[in-house]
Amino acid sequence: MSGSSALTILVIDDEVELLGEIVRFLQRRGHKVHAAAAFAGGMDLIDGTINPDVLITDVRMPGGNGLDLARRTRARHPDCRIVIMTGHLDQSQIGPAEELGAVAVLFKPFSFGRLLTLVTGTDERRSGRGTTALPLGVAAPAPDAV
Amino acid sequence: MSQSSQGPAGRWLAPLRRLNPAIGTAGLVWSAVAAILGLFSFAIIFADSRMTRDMIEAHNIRVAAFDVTAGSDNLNKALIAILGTKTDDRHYGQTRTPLGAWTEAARQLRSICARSDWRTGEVALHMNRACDAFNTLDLAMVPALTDHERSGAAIDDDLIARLAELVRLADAANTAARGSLEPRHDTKTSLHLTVIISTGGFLLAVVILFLLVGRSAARHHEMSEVARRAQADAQASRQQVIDAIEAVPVGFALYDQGERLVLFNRQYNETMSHLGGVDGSMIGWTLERIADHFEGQLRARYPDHDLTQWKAGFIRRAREAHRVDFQLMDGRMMRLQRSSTTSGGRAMVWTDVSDLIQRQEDLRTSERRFQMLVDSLTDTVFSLNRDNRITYLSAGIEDLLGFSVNELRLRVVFDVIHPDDHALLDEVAQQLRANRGLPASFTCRMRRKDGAFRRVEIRLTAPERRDNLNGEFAITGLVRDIEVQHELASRLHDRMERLNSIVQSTGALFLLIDRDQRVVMANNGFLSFVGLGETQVVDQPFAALVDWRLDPAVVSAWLNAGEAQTLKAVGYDNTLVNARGERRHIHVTANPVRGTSGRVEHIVLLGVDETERRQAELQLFDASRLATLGEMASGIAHEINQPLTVIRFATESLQDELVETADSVALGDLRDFIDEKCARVIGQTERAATIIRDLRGFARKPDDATESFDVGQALRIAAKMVDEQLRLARIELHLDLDPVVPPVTGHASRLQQVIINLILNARDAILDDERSGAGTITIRVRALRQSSQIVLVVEDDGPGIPDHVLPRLFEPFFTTKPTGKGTGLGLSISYQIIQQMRGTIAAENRAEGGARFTMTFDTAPIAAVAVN
Repeated sequence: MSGSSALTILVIDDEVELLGEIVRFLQRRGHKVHAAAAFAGGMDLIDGTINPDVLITDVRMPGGNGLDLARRTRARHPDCRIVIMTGHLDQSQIGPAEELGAVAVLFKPFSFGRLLTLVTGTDERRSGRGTTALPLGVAAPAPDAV
Repeated sequence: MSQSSQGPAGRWLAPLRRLNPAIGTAGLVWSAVAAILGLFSFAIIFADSRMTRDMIEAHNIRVAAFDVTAGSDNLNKALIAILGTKTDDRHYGQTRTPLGAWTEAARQLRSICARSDWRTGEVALHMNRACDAFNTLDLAMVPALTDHERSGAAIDDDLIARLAELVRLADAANTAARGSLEPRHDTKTSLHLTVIISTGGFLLAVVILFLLVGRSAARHHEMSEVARRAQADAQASRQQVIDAIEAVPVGFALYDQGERLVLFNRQYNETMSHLGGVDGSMIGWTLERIADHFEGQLRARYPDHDLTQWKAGFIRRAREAHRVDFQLMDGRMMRLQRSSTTSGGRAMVWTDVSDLIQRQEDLRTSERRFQMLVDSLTDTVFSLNRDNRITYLSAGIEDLLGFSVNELRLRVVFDVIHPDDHALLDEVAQQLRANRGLPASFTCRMRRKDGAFRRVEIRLTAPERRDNLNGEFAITGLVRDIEVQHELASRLHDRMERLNSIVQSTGALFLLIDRDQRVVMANNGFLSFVGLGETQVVDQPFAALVDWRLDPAVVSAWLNAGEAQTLKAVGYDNTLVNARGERRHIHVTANPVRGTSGRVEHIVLLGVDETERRQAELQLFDASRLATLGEMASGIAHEINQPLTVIRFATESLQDELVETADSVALGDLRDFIDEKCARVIGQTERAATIIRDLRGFARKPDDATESFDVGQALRIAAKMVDEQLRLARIELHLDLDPVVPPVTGHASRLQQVIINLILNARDAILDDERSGAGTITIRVRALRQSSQIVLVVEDDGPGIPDHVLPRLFEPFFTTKPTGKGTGLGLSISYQIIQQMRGTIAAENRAEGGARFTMTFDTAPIAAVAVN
């Protein structure tokens, strides 16, 4: 898990405690993490001077939709990897996420390990199956559920 | 006297007839006697005086006769003397010469002839002849004799003959004079006796006549007294008449034969006030002059009016009209009535008939109104004369029989009565005439113009004779079409039968009780429910049979209600044990039934066994609750996933820390870190547990029994259950609760179910709305102290409810959501839940946009509530 080059990561989630855990975990892995606990703050980060390698965002937030943040990121930072998190059971976000070229939709709760592989791009299944997010999204919780 | 056609005799008798009442028949007789005797007396006196005159004349004649005799004698002597000369015979008186003898005789004859007082009668006749003869002879004789004396010339024979003739005439006169000298003393005496008697009688008659005239005069005096008094009375009554004329409230003017104003009263003056009135100085004016005067007044007062025809009209009315109504210049309506008096004058009466005309107008209006009223009746008003002919019919007959009113007028009523009913009508008519004024009614069939028969009810009466206009309205009455009623009555019977079979066979419990709350009627459903026979139930007190908990206050209000008061049925739920010992849920509707008197005579109790329906309803509520839960599931999952994720990250983080920590490091160095992670895990576990707890309260199937619950608390929990979802949908939820909200009766979870449904609907509506990405849902609760109610409002600022949806909003299975989303039962079940809580729910669109649902609940549990 270590040894990879440090990435600049944006994490956006309105759940402060969850946000804190993710930030702490990624920082411990040596990444440069910028966090925002609201839609507006996230938008500011995207529009700011940072040039993120990865965007990790929740979907449903007061003030806006995470997919809008992803869309904005895609527009401003075309090479940025995008990881979508959602606590919802329905899979309506998968389609739009896929269109945006997100690497995965993570259904809560998921493991840090899963997050880390997606962030660092070391997931074999992704390279094996192209950019199709759907199997990723659906399959993502499975290893940890066992 | 009064007869104008008197004959001449009558005219002559008239003075007598007038005299008769003055002196009487006796007076007439006596005056006739006096007149006859008086005349007689006067005749005799006249005769006597004539006789005396004759006697004086006779005396004179006699004196004259002596003269004549003497004259005649002298004449004879003269003749003899003359004749002696002739013959020379001096024998015959030679004493005198012829001339002397003639002169002697001539002197005497001249004296006789000069007398006049005897020149009547036979003596005078002869004497006049003699005198005439003498006068002529004397003229011739004197010269002849003188000549003879002087010269002795012979005397002419002719003279002698004439002298002889004169002698003869004188003798004749002498003879006549002797004849008249006969005495008449006897006649004279009897004449005097008669004069005395007749004069005495005349005087007596005059005395009697005087007495009679005196008496008559006394009577006349008396009569003149009476007449004087009568005149005074007449004067007084004339004054009274004038006073009366003054007093009458109509204008009165009297014109005499020559159209001169004789008198008028004050009211007449009043009537003419618009023309300046009349005054006493105008008495004696002619109609023409008065008309001129008034016309002048009018011209001064109404200069704008065309008055060219006025005067002619005024005079024409006064002369010709016997009665005429006209309008004065000042607007009053006047009636002028004119009548001729016996003396040829005219009396005119002016009456102010403005009121009368107004009343007549009112009367006409009232008649028209009456006619309209009668014609507007669906019933027909009629009258028959004593020959049973129709004298009056109102327009209603045209609808009833198809005949026009005129077609039936004066036709015999039997023409339009069914032949079989003639006897009945005859009988009723006779009965009516025997008992005038008493009404009667009967039903019969009447023949329509098209020949069909129509069943009618006839109500009729024979008015009292004084009211029946001389038999014109011998019978009056009303015809009412009862064909429909008749048909209805027979149908009613069938229907009653059917109704009874329905009442009996229906599964409902039917009970009719009277004012004393004793059972009048019970159906089979009720009997089988209580397990009793009809005889055990009828007339029994209702309360002893079944505990239907009819509110005594409601019943007493019904029984004391006035006629005009609106009474509402009440419905309430009851749990009863039937004859088989089963608990049944019965919904009872109690309905007051008014009798003909208007007061409540009976109460109908209808019990419907709702046990099964109620169970089905509850099952539906549960199903719906589960559906709501299903709808909430994804949101709930998200909410539970959130703490789960945090817990997982915290534990992974802890694990990660522990794995990387060297064995040499004491665990105590990590205490703070471990504490933090454990606290986080506990906190998040609690968070998840709270969600589960709220959910459990909602998901739990509620007991059957209702309970009082705090609406505010229930709403707060419901809000919390959806809060996170709304937050994520960027919808704000405002809770605006009265600080103190009284409890309501029902199931808290059911109300939550309703509220959550409404919130989720609102959320969906807001999210579907493309205009904005955010919205607000407000829940407001207000307690209405006066009406012991609370009002609960759920409103949003979404797009609102489409108009075509609004009326069907609470219908079962009506949904606007795409197929597969929502069951369509949400609002209809919400409706039923609220209704079961005795509340109401209504939906509307807010003026400022968005939907609003308003619910009201009674705060106090009550035994019975009104059913709509």
